[in-house]
Amino acid sequence: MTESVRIFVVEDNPADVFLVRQALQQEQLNFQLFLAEDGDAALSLLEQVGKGVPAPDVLLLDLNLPGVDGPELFQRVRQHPLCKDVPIVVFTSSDSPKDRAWTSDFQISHYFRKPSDYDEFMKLGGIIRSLIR
Amino acid sequence: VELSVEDTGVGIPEHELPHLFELFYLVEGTRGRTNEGTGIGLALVQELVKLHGGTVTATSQLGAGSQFRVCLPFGTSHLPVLRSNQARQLNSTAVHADAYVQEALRWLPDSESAFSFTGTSDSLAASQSGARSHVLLADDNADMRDYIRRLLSARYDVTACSNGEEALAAAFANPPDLVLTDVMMPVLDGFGLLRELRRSDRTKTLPILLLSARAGEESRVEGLDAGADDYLVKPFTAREMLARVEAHLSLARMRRQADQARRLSEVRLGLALEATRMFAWEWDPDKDEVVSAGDMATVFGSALHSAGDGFRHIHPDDLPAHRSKLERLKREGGTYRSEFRIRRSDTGATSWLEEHAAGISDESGRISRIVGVIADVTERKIAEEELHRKNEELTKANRELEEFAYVASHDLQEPLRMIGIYTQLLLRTIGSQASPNVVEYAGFVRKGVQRMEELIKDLLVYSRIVHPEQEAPCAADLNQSLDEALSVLRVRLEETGANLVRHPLPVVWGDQRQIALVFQNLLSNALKYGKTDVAPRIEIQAENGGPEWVVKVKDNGIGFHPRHAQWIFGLFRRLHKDAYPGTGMGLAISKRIVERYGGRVWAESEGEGKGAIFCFSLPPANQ
Repeated sequence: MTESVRIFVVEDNPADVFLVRQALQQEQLNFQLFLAEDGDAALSLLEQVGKGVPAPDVLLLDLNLPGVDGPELFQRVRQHPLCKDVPIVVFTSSDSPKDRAWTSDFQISHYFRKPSDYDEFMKLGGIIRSLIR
Repeated sequence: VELSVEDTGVGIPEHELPHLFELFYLVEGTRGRTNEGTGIGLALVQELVKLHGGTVTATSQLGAGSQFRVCLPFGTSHLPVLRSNQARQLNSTAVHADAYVQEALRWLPDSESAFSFTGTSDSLAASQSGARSHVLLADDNADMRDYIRRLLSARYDVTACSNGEEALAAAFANPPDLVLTDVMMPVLDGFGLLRELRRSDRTKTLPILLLSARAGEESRVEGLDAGADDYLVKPFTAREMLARVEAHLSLARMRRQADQARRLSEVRLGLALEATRMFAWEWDPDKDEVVSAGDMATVFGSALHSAGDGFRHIHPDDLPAHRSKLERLKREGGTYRSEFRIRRSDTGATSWLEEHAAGISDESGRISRIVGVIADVTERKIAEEELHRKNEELTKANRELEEFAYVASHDLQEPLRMIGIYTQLLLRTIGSQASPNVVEYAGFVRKGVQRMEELIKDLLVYSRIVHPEQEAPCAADLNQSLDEALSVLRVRLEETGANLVRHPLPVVWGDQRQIALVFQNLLSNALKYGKTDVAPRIEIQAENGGPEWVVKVKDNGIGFHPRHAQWIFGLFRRLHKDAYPGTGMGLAISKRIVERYGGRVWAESEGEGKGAIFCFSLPPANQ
């Protein structure tokens, strides 16, 4: 059996997390989710990387999280020696030019705007697969 | 022939002999019976003899007598143009000739001289100035007085007096434009007259010329020291005297004009200062002395005597900037404008002052004086600050509103997305077991979600128009804007079989993409509100309405009642809620965009069923 893909998901809406799982399952990926539901959880998860928690293969980051500023979280991720080159998928319902502008400073791999159509949402699975080496 | 005249008189010193025949030359130290004499006689003799081709010489022994010898050739051959008198015409200028004529005429009695002086000089004088100047002449010597009066009266009105006192009385009775006075006179001499005239306010600026029969540097200096404007030493030529008199008259005239202009601008400045509640100051940087100032105390609370006095009143935060401006002005000249706060020394109240100053340089180019004006601008400053504060509040409120609109619409979209996706998922989960009712209900939920999404999207668009942060407005080619709109609407245009007529459009001031949105809204309205039985026909054209372009989008659709022409541009306004889809935002968004670039929007229709024309105006791009 191949090693499972480690995906860090920073997302406070369980309904969206459910859809992410469905999308990955539909891609028939062998995956392992590491979930953080708010800013603090995201930062402490990041701290454990290399200290018991292995480095992730993909990061799925929501922008508007309670407890932490979006740019700050992105900065901390990129400063971490084991995360600095990990592909990031921005995972948000925001389409604001401002958000698109600042996230582009962090070498993001994909800006996934959460759609309101189920089938559109499921395309996330294929996007994540394409980012795995 | 030789004519010899010998006398046994006082004789002439040998060193005076070479000057004997010069005009107005008087032998110094003459011990004659009287002092009378003009120094003209011998000069005249010499001129006459010369004209006859002869010579005149003199020999003398001081105390024993003199001998004058005139030699004249016989015949007329040496007199080339005796009959035509041409030699005289070649002589010199008119004034010069007149002067000689006058010299000669002096020997005639006064009454016979009427013919003498009506020629060129009179008309010359008249053309130079409208009114004749008035010259006061004082000389105790009758011959001299008469002679000078004749010379002057060609150009000027002359009052002649025989001593200083008479002249003083005449000057006070009717102040002349210039005084010409002999120095040596009985009763009141020339210096006395000068002193008295300078003492009186009415006559102290009169140009005064002293005449003296005696040469000598000392008396000249004495005369100028006493305040004479000029000093003529006999012998002088008539031309020289006339030139000096005219020069001093015109100097006086210029002084008067300059003085008048100065007084006029002083009055003007005074009025301007009063009207603007400003006052002027003047500062001598070398002595650090405030030379003159208006009522400084009304602004500062106390009088100012030095720059330091002023600095002490200025708010410490404003002082360095103000000081450096003044220092630079002192060094480099130019002007400055400075605004600063002061604390009044009497009440302690703070006021705002605005100061304008300029450096005045001396002949060497060094700044020797600084002049300035100060205005109390406290009221204006308070108003400005208030305006600034209000403006910031407004900007903040606008930003907050935009932020609110953004966050609100974002947060509204989130649950909507959940409802949409999970309704889909529900339907799929129930699958074929679902009753037709369930499928229909789910369909209603989906539709509601879609509609809500459109509303939120349009609200977002509308709220973003407020904020022109993305792109500065520039020239926008309306043809490209229209192309953009048409490509978005391509499918609907094909579906409806619309007939589109487009005319060339201008380049206007605005944002091309936003104006494309305007076209998109207007065209989509025209398509949406078409008649069911006729294919839509849409015509787009532009008219140059002077300072702006007017773009018209004309359709053959259902039109509207003219009373709704304004109403339809409001937010969420929909005339036909049930029959036609839409959020009622399209026209409101268009209006907002057009107005942002200084234009207007309006709509015209002759009534329901009669088509509509939607218009918007924008300024041309070259403005």
